[in-house]
Formats: sequence, C-alpha cells, structure tokens
Amino acid sequence: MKVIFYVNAFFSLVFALGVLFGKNPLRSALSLLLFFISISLYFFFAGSDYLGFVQIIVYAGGIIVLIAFVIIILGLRRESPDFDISLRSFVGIILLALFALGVLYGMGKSILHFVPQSPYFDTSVAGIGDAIFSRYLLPFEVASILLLVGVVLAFIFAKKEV
Amino acid sequence: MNTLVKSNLASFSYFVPELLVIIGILALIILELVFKKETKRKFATLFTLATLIIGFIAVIGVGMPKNHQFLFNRMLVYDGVAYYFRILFFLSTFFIVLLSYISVEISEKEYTETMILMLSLLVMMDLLASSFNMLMLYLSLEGVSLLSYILTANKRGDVRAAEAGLKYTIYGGVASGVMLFGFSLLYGLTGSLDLTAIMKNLSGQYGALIFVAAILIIVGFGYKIAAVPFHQWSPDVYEGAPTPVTAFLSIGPKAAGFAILARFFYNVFSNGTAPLKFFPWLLIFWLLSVATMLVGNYAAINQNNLKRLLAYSSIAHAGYMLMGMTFVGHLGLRAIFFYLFAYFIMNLGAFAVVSFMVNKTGSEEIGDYLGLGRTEPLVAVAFTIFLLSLTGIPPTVGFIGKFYLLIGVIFKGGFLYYLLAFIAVFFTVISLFYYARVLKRMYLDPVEELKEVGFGMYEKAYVSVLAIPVIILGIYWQPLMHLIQKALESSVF
Repeated sequence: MKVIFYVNAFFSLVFALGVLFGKNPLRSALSLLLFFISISLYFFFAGSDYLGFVQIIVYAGGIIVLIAFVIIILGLRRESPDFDISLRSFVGIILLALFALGVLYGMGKSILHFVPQSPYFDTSVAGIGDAIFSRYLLPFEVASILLLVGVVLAFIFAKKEV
Repeated sequence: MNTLVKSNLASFSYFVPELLVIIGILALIILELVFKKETKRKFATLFTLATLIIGFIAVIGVGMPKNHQFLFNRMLVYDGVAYYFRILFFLSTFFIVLLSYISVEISEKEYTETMILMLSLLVMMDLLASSFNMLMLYLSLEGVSLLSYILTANKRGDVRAAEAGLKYTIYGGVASGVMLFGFSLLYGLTGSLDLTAIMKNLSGQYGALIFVAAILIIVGFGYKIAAVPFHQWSPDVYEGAPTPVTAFLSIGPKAAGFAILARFFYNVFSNGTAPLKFFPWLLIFWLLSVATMLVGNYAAINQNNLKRLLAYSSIAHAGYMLMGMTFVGHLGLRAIFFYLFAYFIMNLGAFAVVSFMVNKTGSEEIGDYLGLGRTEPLVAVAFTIFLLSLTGIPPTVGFIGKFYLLIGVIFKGGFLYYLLAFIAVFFTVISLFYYARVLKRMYLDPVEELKEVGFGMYEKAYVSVLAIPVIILGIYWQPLMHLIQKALESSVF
C-alpha cells in the first residue's frame, strides 16, 4: 500500500511538472487530466471513495473538457514563449526556493505522519449528505452564495465594453 | 430531532440581523425590476436604509451576550466582540449608502446593484468577524474579497476601475491561495478545523512547520488589512474604484480583517494570556507593523492625488493598529478595536469630502482644493478636523486611539516595545507633513480668483454629523471604551 502511495506521489509530481513545462497547451491540459486522476487516488487511500469519484467526475470529466474546449476554440496551438528570466523573476525564484527549503525543513523535522481520518465524517454518500445538511449547513449555504458571486464577477470581467 | 439540526435552529435567534439584511437583499433584487427609471435611485436608497435601520435595531435587540454562544455547530461564535463589530459594520454601511446616493461616480444603471452588493458585503463581514472554524473563515473571507472585487470593477466605461478590479482579483487570488496552503498545513497537523481544537492539538513537536503555516496565514490576513509587504494592490484599487466604494473598502473589510486576525491568532497561537512558544508574536508583528508604518507614511509624502494619499495613509494606519498585535493581552485588543472605530469616523469623513469634491469638480488632485477654506468654510473646517484626527492631534478621537495603542506597547515594557513606540511617534510627526500639505492648500496658498464649489445642505450636514463625534469622542471617549471592555470580557479571546 505504501509503495503504491509513493509511486503515485512521484507520478503526480511528474504530471504537475508536465503541466508547467508542456510546450503544447493541449498536452498541458492532458497532463492536468492525469494529475487530477492521480490526486483522486489520494482520496481513495484516505478511505473516502465518494470524494475520489467526485474528483474524477468533476475535475477530470468536467473541468478538463472545458479547458480543452477553450483551447480548441481559441486555437492556441502556437508554442508558448520560453520563460523570460529577468532580474525580478530571478529574485522571486530565489525567494521561492528559500521558502520551499523552509517548508521542507519543517516537514523533515516533523515526523511524516498520516492525518488521522477526520473524526466528523462518515465518508459514504449518505454520511456526506448528513454532514452537509446538519453540521456544515451554514458553510454549505455560504459556499453556494460564493459560487453565485463568482459568476457575477466573471460576468463583469467578461463584458464586451470595459 | 438530531442535536446538530437543533443547534442550527437554535442559532437563528442570534442571527436575526443578518437574516433581515438577507431578506432586504432578496427584496431589492425583485424591486429593481419594479422601480421606475427616474425614481429608482431614491427608492433603492430608501429601501436599503430602511433595511439597515431595521437590521441595526435587531443588532441592538439581540444585544451583547453575557457569555459567548457558539452558533451553527461551532461554525460561528457570537460574543461581545462580534456584537461590537456588527455595530461598526452596520454604521459604516449606513453612511456609505448615504455617500453613494449623491455620488456621480455610481451611475443610475449600476446603482441598485451597488446597493445589493454593499448589503451582501455587510453580511459577509459579519460572518467573517464571528467565524470560529477555518472552513467558515475561509468562505467568508473569500466572500468579502469577491464582493470587493465586484464593487471595484463595476463601473461601466471606466478603464481605471476595470484595471483596478482585475489587479485586485489576481492579487487576492494568490494571497488566498497561499493562506489556504497554511490552513491545510494546520489541518494536516491537527486534524481539525475548529480553532480551539487546533490550539489543543498543536504540539511543539512540529514547531517549525507550525511557524511556516502561521506565516502563510498571515499573508492572507495581511492582504486583507493591507499590511506591507502585501499592500501593493491598495493604492491602485483605492484610486480606481468609485470614491464611496473606496471609503467602504478602507473601513469595512479592513476592520473585518483585523477582527479575524485577532480572533484567529488569539485562539490558535496563544492560550489567552501568553503566546505559544513556537510562534514569536513579537518578532513577526513587530516587523510587520514597522514595515507597514514605514512604507505607508513614506509613500504618502509625494502623492498629489488625494485618493492615493489616503490609500497610503490607510496602509500607515494599519501599521499603527498592528502595534496592538505585538503582544497578547486585552490592553492591545481594546486599543485596536477602539482605533478601528476612530478610524471609521475620521477616514469616512475624509473620504466623504473627497467624494463631494469629485462630484462637484471631477478632480481628486490636491491642487484643486485651493481656497476651499474661503469658499466652503464649513466643509473645510470639517476636513481639517478629519485630517488632524488622522494625524493624531488632541482633542480628536484619533489622538485617543493612538494614545491607547502607545500605552499598550509601553506598559508591556522592554527595549523593542519602547523602540516601537518611538518609531510610531516619529511616523506620526512625518504624517503631519502630508496631511498639513492639504490644509496649507486650503487655507494659506494665495488665491487669484475664487471658484465657487457650491456644496448643498446634504454635504454640509453629512460632514457635520461625522465631524462632531470626532471631537466629542476625543474629549469624552469613556462610554465607547467601556463598551469595548465589556465586549472583551464576554468574548473568546
């Protein structure tokens, strides 16, 4: 089990890098798809099958198709320009590397331990439904309003005239 | 019935003000279709004001609880501080609506939308200031942010507003992503989203990682309160947004940001009396505070655009308020909360004058305030009071606010604290320079020909209503301080 976990972790890293460094946008989207699927495996490992399936259906099934459509419609087939390393981005990269080192140091000092399963949840579909409509009722409602607000924001940015 | 469901139902009695505002929002969405075009602005304003007044009565009716109450299964907490911030948010929204009513920057087309958005922002700020769970906290913080973006960008035909909105959105997206990473680290370490449970489960074993998580979370909160180095968005956004919206952003979301900053750090990274040992409060907030004061005051010196100047001054004021976070204790908290109220009155007043000037002359430049002292004596005097209060000169409420902040730091004692107090006083003196530039322009600079600005009764009444409390609270501030003390006693801090 542990071996599969680490192999999967390695592959999700590879796919994530593939998204960043892919020359062809469509290939990047494909890497993203594989990345999402490997992420869904983590949910299965953690014992929440439902979330794993939702991850595959929503992200791999829905979002990626949307992204692919956008790429096809806009016809972004040209290669993306190479990274432009100016002094500014150089400083940024160094700071980011320092920060990553800090996080790794912190992780290394703490013993890698797996999160105990969240005490609240029964991860079956019925259990999640129960949680949404009892314990997490307010966040659930606020999240739905948040999505609506997000749509309005997207609409304002997408208007034809400024 | 399930106890969880029971708790949800029982919570509604403390949630009445928000519910009333939500009903108002829904009604306004429908009424917008009914209103006639010519009278739309008047009716929408009246309806919004009525909603706010009824909501405010409900706030007072629910009142200050004797003990803190957890609502919706510990998603929210209703305590004295939540009550205090509700009052602050309702009052600020009320005055902002009055300011928007006569603003030429908000056209008829988007006026009702703006009212709806402001009321929604009010609800989200209430939720944010009383969140007690990381999930709720994140959702309400994001709600406040998204609504602020919309308010900023929703100005048809204005490239500056669109640019400011987009900048704000991108910056906010990055900041909340970073903050979310911090949350996920905390959740991974403790297996809980509840603030108290997180505090109990944090063990010194993961000290370094907890430190990293705290820094990441500060990015998110620091962005909300515009603390340096997460402040770059604020001058552009403040300049690009319609002035009433700018005023709202500088008092509402900022106060909510401070409320949640204090709530989160007091409940997670301290046990109420002393900080947890793996998170050095003094160091982090000291640096943040000094950097914020330095950049805010330094950048304000050279500004000729008054909105930009006030944006930088609002950064500087966040720096002063962060002084209250350098140590754990009610002395710091009450100073911050008092200052937020003081800042609400004086900053709103200053922005109101700027907004009125934009209405009449279409200009935000300091140069165009030439001779205002002679053409509009009342408004000029009020503006002087606001600016002096922002500087912190007695007998204004700004002085009392700064006094409490400094007292807190000095009572704490120790070299770094004395140094911090000295730096704050030093920057206060510097700030006098750029505020006084405006005063000089209004009163002292030679005028060749006087241009009438022509403020009406509405503007004069508005600035008077704000200027009088600045003076009164500067002389007789004990009732407000008493309210804050009582609020803190019944709170989970």
